[in-house]
Amino acid sequence: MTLLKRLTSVLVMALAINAVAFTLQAQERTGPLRIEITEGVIEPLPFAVPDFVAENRAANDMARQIAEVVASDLSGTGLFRRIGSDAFISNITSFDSPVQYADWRAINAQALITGSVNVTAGGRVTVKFRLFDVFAGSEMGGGLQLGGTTTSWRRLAHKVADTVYSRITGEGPYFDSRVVFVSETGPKSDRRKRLAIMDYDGANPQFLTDSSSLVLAPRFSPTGDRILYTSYESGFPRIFVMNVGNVSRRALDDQQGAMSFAPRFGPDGNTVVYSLSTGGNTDIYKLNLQSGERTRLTSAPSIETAPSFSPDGRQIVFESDRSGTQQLYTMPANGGEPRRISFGTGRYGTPVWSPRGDMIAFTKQNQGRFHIGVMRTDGSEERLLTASFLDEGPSWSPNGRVIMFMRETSGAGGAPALYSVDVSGRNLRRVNTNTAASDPSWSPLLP
Amino acid sequence: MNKGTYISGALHLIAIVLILFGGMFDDIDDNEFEVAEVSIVSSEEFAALSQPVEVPSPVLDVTAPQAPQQEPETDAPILPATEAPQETAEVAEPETPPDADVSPDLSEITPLPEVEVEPVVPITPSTPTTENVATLLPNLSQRPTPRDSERVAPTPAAQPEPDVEISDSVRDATEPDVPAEQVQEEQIATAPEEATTEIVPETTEPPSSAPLSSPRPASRPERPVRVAETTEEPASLDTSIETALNEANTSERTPTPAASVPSGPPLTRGEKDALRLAVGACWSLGSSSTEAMRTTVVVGVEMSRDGKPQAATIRLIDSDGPNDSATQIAFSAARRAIIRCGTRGYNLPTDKYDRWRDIEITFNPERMRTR
Repeated sequence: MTLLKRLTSVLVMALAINAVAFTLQAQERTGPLRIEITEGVIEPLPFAVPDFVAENRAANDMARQIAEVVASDLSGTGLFRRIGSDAFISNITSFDSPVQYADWRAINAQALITGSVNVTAGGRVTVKFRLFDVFAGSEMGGGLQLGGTTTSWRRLAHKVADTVYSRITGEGPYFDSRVVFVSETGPKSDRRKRLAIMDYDGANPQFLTDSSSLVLAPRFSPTGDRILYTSYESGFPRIFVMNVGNVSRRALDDQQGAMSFAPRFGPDGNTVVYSLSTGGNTDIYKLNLQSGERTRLTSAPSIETAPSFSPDGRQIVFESDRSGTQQLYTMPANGGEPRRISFGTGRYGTPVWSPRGDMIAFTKQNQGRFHIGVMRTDGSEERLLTASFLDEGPSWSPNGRVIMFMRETSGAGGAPALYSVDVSGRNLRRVNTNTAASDPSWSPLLP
Repeated sequence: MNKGTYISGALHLIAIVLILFGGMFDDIDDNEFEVAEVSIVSSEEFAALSQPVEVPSPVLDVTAPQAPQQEPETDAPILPATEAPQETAEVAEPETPPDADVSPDLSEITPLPEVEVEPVVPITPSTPTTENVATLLPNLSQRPTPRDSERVAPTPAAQPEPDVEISDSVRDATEPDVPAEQVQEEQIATAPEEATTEIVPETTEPPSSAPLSSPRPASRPERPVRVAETTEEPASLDTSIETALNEANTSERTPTPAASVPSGPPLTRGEKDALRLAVGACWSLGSSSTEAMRTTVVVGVEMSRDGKPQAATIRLIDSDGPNDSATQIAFSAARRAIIRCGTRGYNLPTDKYDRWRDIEITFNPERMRTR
């Protein structure tokens, strides 16, 4: 009986398998050809940006410059490759003329950006542009028009590039943003530091402070109008908040005998987390800027510092040596039991939560080498993006795709410089600064 | 004996010639000896010079970590540790800037230039050139425009009519007027040969007279079915042609059931792999968002018999991704891949066209994410 049951079961299973196989075969006979592709290529997308059309004589130079900045922005991401104008078959002489797709297809331009610039006597600039998918033979999104003044032409160009970048990649924009950093001058033994601000690509640098006192760790507010930083002008580290518009400033949580440092804004712009060192112990505190209310978030004999809010404001990641080595922990924004998230070899520090909320960037020191790395917010999928003598202080771009950090060369003549790297680990490149630079903080996207 | 004398004489002669003209010993004569001035040092002076000199120690930060030769990282990064220095090797060291001014110069601060991000004004899109890859109607080629005359003459002349005889003078053709009483002699129209006053280079390629697109080929005719002979009267030739034309026109517009069911042997694994590799070579995710890199899309496309994809038929069939934006980006990348690598037609067996007329391609970037 049992044998009969088993035979029946085997027979039923065989019939079922045959039925499935027959169905698949019949599907293959009657349906379309089906294939699966799992191997592609990772290469930058070739694009063409002819000089924008100058609608009047006053726009001649600006039309060319805006096209250059757009091309530079896109090429700088490492995701795009510009096709030189000497390869062009077609020329764009009128913004409204039809596009000869075949000519751009022949030079393998997959994206084409055309535009025009108009400058009025009153100094008003109008930029129009269109983006074309050459191989699809259609426009990607509608044409756009931006307006500004002659002094804002670079911002207009960044806005154009931002739109193109977002439409093609699906990522959020980040070109129209700024970076505050510590500008360093003088020999290594007598380094002078000033706060400075510049466009994300290094253009338009300006100093925010003088070099009379040491300044460290500037951090942008979520709206980009204020900067937190640490100053040693009193001999002890103290936190200041500066208004970027008029460079006015005030001290935060000024306590006698206490050292405050490593500040960072919360996502609401009204809350600041920072480290306060009193009596030889360093813990993390939260300060409400409006009410002045201060809340202690950690209370351990170890050193807790470098706090960073999650974008939703619910959690804080920070570094602590409570386990004996410097590691990363997360905790609720109102304090609570910390949870360790870094378990690799070496020491972890300066964690920064991604604006997307999905990753945490950090500095890692292991066996004499420094790395910038990223991990999931639970500590999984750790990836190291860089390696050098000294890499430190990551800061996320507004779209969470790029990380800017400081790299210092070794030796007595070594100097820090700013670098950026794609979150994939590709496209490591140096950011142009007039002086040696460290401690970058990326602003949000400008309005 | 004479032979030995001759050989000896010839060798001596060669040696003499080489000495006189060959410069065999020039190197020996031209060698110059380096001359160095020396001075006599006493034993006391030598002993003083041999004393070890205390070298001032350089300013070193002994606490600074030394960079190891290799990266012995156990949790190896995705990118090799050598990649970062390699990329930055071309980057120049930052120049040592001049000393910063001690006094603050806050007058340098200029306000952020305002950009009036006006409400996005859509511009009326221009009508792009019509480039339908697939069309049901033949695109008849236009008559090619005449090229500029290669003949150079003092007086330019337009291109004469095709039936006009070449002559120095222009003369209209005349025909005998039937009702006229006076009979006019028939004469042939003449015109000067086409000419221009200067040599005109061919700056542009004349437009191609080839059709830009061709009608979609008709589906394979159904196999003739042997039927029993009927007693009907055989149709006339005109009726048969008319019937055949009607059938052909009908079959072009509405696919027969036989056309939707592929016939013949299926594609071999090798043929499928070749198509897979061909499309994959153009499937670039380098400019895709990280979310698009996590999106799988199934894309359908209809192919023409020459192996070229019909761009207008490329459609999204299914997707599996975090959001619509990522799906759209992934679909765009897939569509570009199909079109770009198919511009010259994929290498597919023509005799199995029914098998690959419609293709569904699944673009799965799972393995690409780990790169």
